[in-house]
Amino acid sequence: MGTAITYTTEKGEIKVADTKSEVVSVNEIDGVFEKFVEEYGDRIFNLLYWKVGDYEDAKDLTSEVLLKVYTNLPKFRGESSLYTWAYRIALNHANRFLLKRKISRFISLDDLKVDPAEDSNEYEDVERTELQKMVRDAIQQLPSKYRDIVILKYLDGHGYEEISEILKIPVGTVKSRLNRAREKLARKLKGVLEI
Amino acid sequence: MKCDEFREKLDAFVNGNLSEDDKKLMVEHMNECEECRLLYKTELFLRKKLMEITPNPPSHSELIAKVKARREKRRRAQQMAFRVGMAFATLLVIAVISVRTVFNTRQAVSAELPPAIVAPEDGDVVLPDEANIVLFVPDPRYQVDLKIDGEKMDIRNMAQTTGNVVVTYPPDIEPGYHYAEIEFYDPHNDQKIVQSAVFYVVGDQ
Repeated sequence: MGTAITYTTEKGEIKVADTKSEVVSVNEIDGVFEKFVEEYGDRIFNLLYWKVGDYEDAKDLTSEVLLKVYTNLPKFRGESSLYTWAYRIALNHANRFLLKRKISRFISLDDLKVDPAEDSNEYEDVERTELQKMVRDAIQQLPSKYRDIVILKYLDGHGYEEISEILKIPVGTVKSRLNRAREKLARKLKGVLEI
Repeated sequence: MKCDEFREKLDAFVNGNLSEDDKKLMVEHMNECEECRLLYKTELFLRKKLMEITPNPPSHSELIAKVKARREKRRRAQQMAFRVGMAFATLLVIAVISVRTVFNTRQAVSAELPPAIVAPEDGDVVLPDEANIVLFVPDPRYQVDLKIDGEKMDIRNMAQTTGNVVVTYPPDIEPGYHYAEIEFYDPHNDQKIVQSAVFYVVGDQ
């Protein structure tokens, strides 16, 4: 499914490629970027959506992450796959956002009473089922280290090895965290699953 | 099979990567253990439903437009910061030049003011123990000679500084009229200047 992206910098041609890819040559950075958005934009959005649990925030964060990708594309040296590299940028960016949100809610006591899921937003109109809200809340309540693994595995379909590479943790840790995450989610989603 | 083993093999089980024997054991355990059955259901649910209930991402064109807008905003902010920096630097340069100009002008004005006898003025009446001769020396480079009644006073040390130089009368100055006289070379007009003041010293009685 991956498409290779090749672009030229002052230091020569840099090929950015996934293993399963066919080569597409694009010399203009804008062209590369548009290709990147086409290829990975949805996945980055999905990651951010499940990470922060709010459609509008996820949209803003996606554009911020993509801007970082755009700015840093010429510095990318292909030490990991482009996707892994971008995914790490997105995860770090989302973690910073969540930390800021946590601090601002801690400072502003009024905000504590506001359920982010209840905020009106574009997605709220199309969010039709209670199930969506339940799952979103359950995932949101997971500690970040478990949430990241759940997103990478169930949303992006990564295997243990890939998750280990993206998060830079041993495969054994990936497995144990996944088991813990599954147990926590099972407890929270018990009502839904036993129907 | 124990719960730990079930959980360890759950992923492979759902992927269909277990041996027939293991599969049987997994199924047997699920029938006996409610908790592990729930974990199995959770695994299936997450695999099948998570993507399904993820909202549609924004369109790529919307994302690209947002990124372009942010880039533009950042570029403008950088430009603005650059302009503000340049304006500040320009102001600083102007301020420095102005200060220097004012300073230089003042120096020039000072330099243009020639040395003079500030006190006593012509016709002043003074007491011998309270009055002194005050000279204005704008620049220590002026070679000013002071004479009282034609007698040269030693003001070499005092004339090293700029500003007013105070010279005390000779201790034996007699009551009556006297005159102070300064003489210096004026480099602007290339000539010797002499200025004098006549004053009256009152007697002790």
